[in-house]
Amino acid sequence: MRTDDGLNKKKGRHLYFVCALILIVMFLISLCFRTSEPGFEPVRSASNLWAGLRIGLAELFNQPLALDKFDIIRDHDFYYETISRLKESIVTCIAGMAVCAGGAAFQTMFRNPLASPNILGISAGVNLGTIMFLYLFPTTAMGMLTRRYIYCYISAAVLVGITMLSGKIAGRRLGRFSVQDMLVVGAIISQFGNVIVMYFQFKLEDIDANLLTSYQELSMGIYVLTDLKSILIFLISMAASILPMYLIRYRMNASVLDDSEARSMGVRPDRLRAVGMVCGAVMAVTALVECGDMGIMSMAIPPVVRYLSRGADFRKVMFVSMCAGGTIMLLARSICSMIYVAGMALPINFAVSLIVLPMFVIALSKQRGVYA
Amino acid sequence: MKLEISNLACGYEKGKPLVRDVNFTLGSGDICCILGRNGVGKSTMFKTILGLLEPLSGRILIDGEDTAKWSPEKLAGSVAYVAQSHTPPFPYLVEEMVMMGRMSHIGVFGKPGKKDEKIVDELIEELGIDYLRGKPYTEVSGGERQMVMIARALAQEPKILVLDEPTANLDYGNKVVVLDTVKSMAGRGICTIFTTHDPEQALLLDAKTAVIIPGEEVVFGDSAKVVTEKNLKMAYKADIRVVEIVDDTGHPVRVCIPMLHNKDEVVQNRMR
Amino acid sequence: MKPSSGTGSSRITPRTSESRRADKKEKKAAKAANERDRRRRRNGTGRITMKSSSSAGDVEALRAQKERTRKFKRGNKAMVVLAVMLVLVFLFSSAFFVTVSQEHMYISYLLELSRTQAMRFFNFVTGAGAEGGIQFMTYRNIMVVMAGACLAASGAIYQGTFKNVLASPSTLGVMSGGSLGNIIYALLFAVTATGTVKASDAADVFNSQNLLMRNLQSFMVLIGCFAAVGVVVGITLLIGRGKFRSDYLILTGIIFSSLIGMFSSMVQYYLIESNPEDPRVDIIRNLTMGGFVNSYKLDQVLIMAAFLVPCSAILMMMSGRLDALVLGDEQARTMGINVRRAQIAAIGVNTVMTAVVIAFCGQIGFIGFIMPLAARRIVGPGFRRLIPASMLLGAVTLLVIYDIAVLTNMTGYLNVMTSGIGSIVMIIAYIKGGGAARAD
Repeated sequence: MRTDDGLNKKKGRHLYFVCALILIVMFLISLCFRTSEPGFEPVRSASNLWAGLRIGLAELFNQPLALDKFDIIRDHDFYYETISRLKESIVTCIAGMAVCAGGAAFQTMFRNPLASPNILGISAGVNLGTIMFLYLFPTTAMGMLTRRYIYCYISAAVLVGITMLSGKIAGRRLGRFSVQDMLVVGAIISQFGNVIVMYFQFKLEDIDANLLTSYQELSMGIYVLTDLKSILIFLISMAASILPMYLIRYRMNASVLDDSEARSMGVRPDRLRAVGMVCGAVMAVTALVECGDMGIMSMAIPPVVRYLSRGADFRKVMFVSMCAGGTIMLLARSICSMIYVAGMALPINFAVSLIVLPMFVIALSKQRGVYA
Repeated sequence: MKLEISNLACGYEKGKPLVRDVNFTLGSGDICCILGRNGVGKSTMFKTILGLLEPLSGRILIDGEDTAKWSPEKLAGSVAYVAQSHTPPFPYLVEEMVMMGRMSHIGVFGKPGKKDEKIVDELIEELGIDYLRGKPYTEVSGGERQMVMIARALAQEPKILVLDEPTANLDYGNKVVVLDTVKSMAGRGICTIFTTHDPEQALLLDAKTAVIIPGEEVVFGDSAKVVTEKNLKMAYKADIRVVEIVDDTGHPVRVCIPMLHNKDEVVQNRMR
Repeated sequence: MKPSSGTGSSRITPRTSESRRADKKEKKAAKAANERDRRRRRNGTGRITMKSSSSAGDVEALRAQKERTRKFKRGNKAMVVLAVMLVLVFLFSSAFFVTVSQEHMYISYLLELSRTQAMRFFNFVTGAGAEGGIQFMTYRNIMVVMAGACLAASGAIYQGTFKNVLASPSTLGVMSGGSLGNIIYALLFAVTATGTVKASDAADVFNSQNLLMRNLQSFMVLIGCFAAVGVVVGITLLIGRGKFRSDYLILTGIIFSSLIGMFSSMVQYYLIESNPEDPRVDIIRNLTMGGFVNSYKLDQVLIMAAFLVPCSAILMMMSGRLDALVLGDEQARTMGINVRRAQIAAIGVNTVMTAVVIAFCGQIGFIGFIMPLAARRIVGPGFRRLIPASMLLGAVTLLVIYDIAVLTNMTGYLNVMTSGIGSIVMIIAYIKGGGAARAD
């Protein structure tokens, strides 16, 4: 028994290693695709990246190489494409990781294997924010896209606030915060928000048909912002939200127990839940704003992970979900780069949902335990 | 270790105590059994002892200190709690569940270390649930689940263990297993408090018993003195005889036998 | 001592089919006796016969009894009120409502307009003639009434069959299936009218195409709805490994709807990108938005009625069986009801109703979600009264909302309005009602 335990621990460490490896490999593969036309060019992409590294370092340290920069770039085909592809891949990967971590956290916190940050009405909020932003600034919107973040955050915060408030008010009669209430109210608010978005889509089209396409591009994740400011905002909010959750990742397991049991262990489940919800929501909103709505990924990946691995320790589930999320996002992006419709690559959110759905169905159908 | 409860009144609203005038003292290795009907205030009393509810009046003292001012973390160092069995939504492994009990020692930002693993391993062996290792918690029987939860509570290294109806929903064999475990914990010096719907368990374990009778003060004392026909009748509104028989080794054992009536008498009893 | 029929203690006699039949008979007899008792107590003039002398428990029972009788009578009254309201609102909206634009917002002009409209309506109803397109308003109002009633009824059936508050045509993916059928139709079969030379030729081509297109579109919507139900139920059974779980059903329905929604926006995006004036986009959108734009002809009204009236009749006939289904599958089976057949029949009829409504009136959310809940609170959960009550309630509500849409000139976006108003009402009612604790 004791030796078996040691072997399990080594297997556990192997699991972490393998997951991280798959993620890195997928990342490198996705870098090799072309953006403006279907194509897979590993060698040229590698040389582009290498050139980019040299140029970047040269500019950083003010080396004379920087003066020859444009000659070097001219020698390398589709150089800018590769660099922007790199930025896109980083952003997409982190967004996928964050969304899945948020889903795993929500499921643990609410003891419901089907919970996710989306139940709070976040996607409706972000869409609403985007469309209000485009509506209020029709002519200058595309020029100041970073301001869109503010609108999206505020509108998402409002909708989430309504959902949580309703959950609290309704739950007061039961004496506790009711998950089912939040689910129902969240579903209603999502539908409400989406419908208002639909209405404003028409208004946008009346103003300028291009605005409507811009909205669609932003909400479906076709257009990923890769300028420095956007990426900075993205990375900072991701770090600020992933870090606290990483720190309390073992404590999160206590949410699975009865609240009174958890408190008698010295854990404060309400505080855990508060931190988890805020972090999960911020992660989800940031990912949404950057990469569009990813559908059922945040809800579906953690159950698949729990099915494939032994035990449900939140540390393991969170790490593997993050790796899986990042991998799937990159995979979807790679696949969509190869399929071109009407001269443009497919938006990835549909592909992500299609990839995730069968995995989810299979994982749920094979579960033997008693699920909520 | 001494747990003193003096003049405790428990309830949810000020001025409306569900249970009042609770007075008793327990020491290390004591077993305390709380009897009473449904809704009479057993879980309210529990929650007050666990610090989840504020006492309406009176004090709870552990080793002379008033626990009203203690933070949950401090209280966790002395008191552990096992709820009635519930179904967890995720297939946590048995050893992961037991490890959760170490959270009070691990801290907010930590994770289990070698020392915690050693304690958990020892506990699992001691309680005899070694054969459950590697199994998901959702796939073990009710009695085994209860044992795992008790192991989790013991991993907290508490001085007092509070169990809420530990034998509810268990088959007879598992009930015996749990009662055996309670007895062995008393042997380890842990003070165990538990509620039950079966007054016989108090007699079997020779526990100090508290009977909560609605509208009267809580009766506390040795099981032989407290589990009497009169008290049981007041507590459960049923005719229960307490009979002393002699077991195989010649020791006297007291058992409870409910007296069943025919239909008319039942209706009359209910009306009363 | 006679062996008791299955309560608690061990069975001494083995379960032969004879004993099972005897049990069933016993249960049926017991149920009939209960029903008789209940009816006797209900129809009695308040004289309650109790078994033993009065004491605290009996007064409670008496009070509960009175409360039930009162609720029953109140439910009946409410239904009558609803029916009267329906007629009144219908007359009002047909006779008086006109689209008002910004510059006509003063009372005297409005009154004049309404008076003309009322005259026209009167003429139309009495057969004196139809002017100013009054018949179109009336037909459309009839369709609105039918749509509201049938959506509410199908929502009630879904909620009862799946025993879940969240079940409704919109959450189960039926509506999304219809819109998927519509998209496929738009992509594959819709003919984009290219430029024609003569106006009359164009009109002819367009008219004949319109009729054909209408049928084909509705047909594809119907197929889409059935396919959606099939897929969703199939996946639910797959996930539940043969056992049907209502929360998995809702989950699958929501996932399916969101997938279709994504697909729909993707298709719209590509269509607009390649050709900003593409009429197929309008076809797709009209359905999603719930516009009644193409529904104002008498033959459409008749087709809709031809489907919806028999379906409602079937549902009313099945209401007793559906009541038993709510008790639970095993319970219903012991009462002699073929559970699987009843469920399939209920879902099938429901899907047909929903498909017809979507095909003619587009996606209209929330009516099937809220109305049954509200109706249940008024008349109680028995289907015999819940179905008509929710139909009445749904019809009145949708008509009122439609009138508001006419006033604000948003008749093309009925889905927006119902979802908007519906969400607010739903949230408030849900919170006030205590949330999940009370919602059935």
